[in-house]
Amino acid sequence: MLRIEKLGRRFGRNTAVSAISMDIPKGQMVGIIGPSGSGKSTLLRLVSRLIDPTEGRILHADVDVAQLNGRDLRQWRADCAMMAAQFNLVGQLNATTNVLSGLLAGMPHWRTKARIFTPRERALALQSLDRVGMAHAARQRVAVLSQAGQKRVAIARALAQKPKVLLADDPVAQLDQTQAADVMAALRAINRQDGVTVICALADPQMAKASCDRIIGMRDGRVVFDGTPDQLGRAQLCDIFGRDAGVTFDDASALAMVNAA
Amino acid sequence: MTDMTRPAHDLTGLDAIRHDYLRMTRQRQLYTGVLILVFIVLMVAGFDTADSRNAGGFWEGLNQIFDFPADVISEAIEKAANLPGHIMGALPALIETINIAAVATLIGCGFGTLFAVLGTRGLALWPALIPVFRRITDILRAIPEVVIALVLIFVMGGGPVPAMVAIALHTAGAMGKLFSEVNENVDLRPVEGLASVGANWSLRIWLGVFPQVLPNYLSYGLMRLEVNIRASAILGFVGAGGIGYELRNAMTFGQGRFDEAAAIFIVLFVTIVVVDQISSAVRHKLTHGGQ
Repeated sequence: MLRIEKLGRRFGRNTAVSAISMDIPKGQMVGIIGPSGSGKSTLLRLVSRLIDPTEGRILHADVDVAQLNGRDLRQWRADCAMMAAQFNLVGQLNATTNVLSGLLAGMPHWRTKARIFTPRERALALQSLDRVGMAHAARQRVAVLSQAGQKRVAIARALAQKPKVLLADDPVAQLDQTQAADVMAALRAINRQDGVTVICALADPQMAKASCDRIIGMRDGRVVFDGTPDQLGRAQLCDIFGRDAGVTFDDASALAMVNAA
Repeated sequence: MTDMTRPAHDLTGLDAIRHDYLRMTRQRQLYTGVLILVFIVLMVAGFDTADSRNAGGFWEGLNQIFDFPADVISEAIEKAANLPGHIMGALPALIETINIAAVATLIGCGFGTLFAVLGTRGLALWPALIPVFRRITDILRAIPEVVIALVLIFVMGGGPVPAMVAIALHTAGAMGKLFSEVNENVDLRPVEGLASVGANWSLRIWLGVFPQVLPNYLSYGLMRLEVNIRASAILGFVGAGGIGYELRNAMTFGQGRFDEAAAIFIVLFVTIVVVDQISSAVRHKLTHGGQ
């Protein structure tokens, strides 16, 4: 179980997130929704410890992740796969090598640097690529793949990590509807088949409702909704996306959602 | 101030903008004119000062500028039969010169890479020490190779090793600067992606940064090799061995060895052209033909 207690993060005088508390049972698929700037990405980056919290605790298996550093911190990052919103693979390396980099926590550094991988490791990487339908691109440089292809390779790398928790920051950004549905289905499959806890930040509430067990709504760095997809109605969406506070162009789809609900 | 130069309130919005625009254009033209004038005055005055402090005088010496090359060429033509032999004789020294340059470039680029990574914001292992590493490269770059070589020759005696060390130190400084500029343009998202799978600093640099910058590094390194071959030849003049040493001996007046000097010039010229051609072909392939 992942327990977050009163987590907060300030950037200078700006408070990005504050007083976030939640319990996420193992194997749950959680969707975090909210307008841009509401703190979704910050929350995910805090949990993966890519940035440090200014207050609060993150407990995983009774260990306070927020206090880890050095080797323990790198081990946590290896256990907690993070898919960033923007492409964060190495474009110059081929897909297989990128996926194999997901295994680096478990192998000696010189072997990763020399890119000497055992047949078993290579087999695992290919298997991961195959699970997301990218085995055909195994030897292609990632930079030449399409956006959707790169997303899939990123999922394959996360798979190879054999993570306990998978964080996905807007995994469907810049994808068309079919591609987005495919990516969400892939995440759902990992969640169901491997029992991995998946937490994804999503801009589209409809997508979150369709694929997650639980929805968390954020606004101005705080949790304003926490419940099942069924409980997320028009009133709650208005709460999260602040219909009265003046809806920006970015939130146009959310507004359409609010009107449709 | 600007309000005072604006004549009246009855100008419409567009007229006011046009007025301001024309005024600023005139001002810019005026500044450009003044700057050109100052530049010309400085050049003329500077030439006069320099010429008056010259022992011989610029205009008197100008017509003698081709005397030495003419001597060399006429003597070389006179003894043209000796040239092939002299060229062959210069080859061992040439190889020594190229060796000095190659080893110095390799070592210098190695240290340059280290300084560059440690001195780039966003990549540095110890961000607080970035200014330290930057100043180290500044210092290495600021001291001329000849000065380092002279000191080392004084301490260690003549030979290729002092020259190699001198060139390597200068190269480390120069490459540290160039490489860190390449590093500034690195996409940091892959680096963070590697951090997110648990990579430590050296792995993040190795897998996330080097694949991005290596073509550029190699291109700069090859360019530096050309520069260093010339530097290594020049260091021969101060006793560091190689082809520069042979050239100095042959070039001394009144020995009747100008045919040998000509042979060395030919060898050096051909070498530089060959290295330049090879490296530009490789660099072109790296930057354009990569995929």
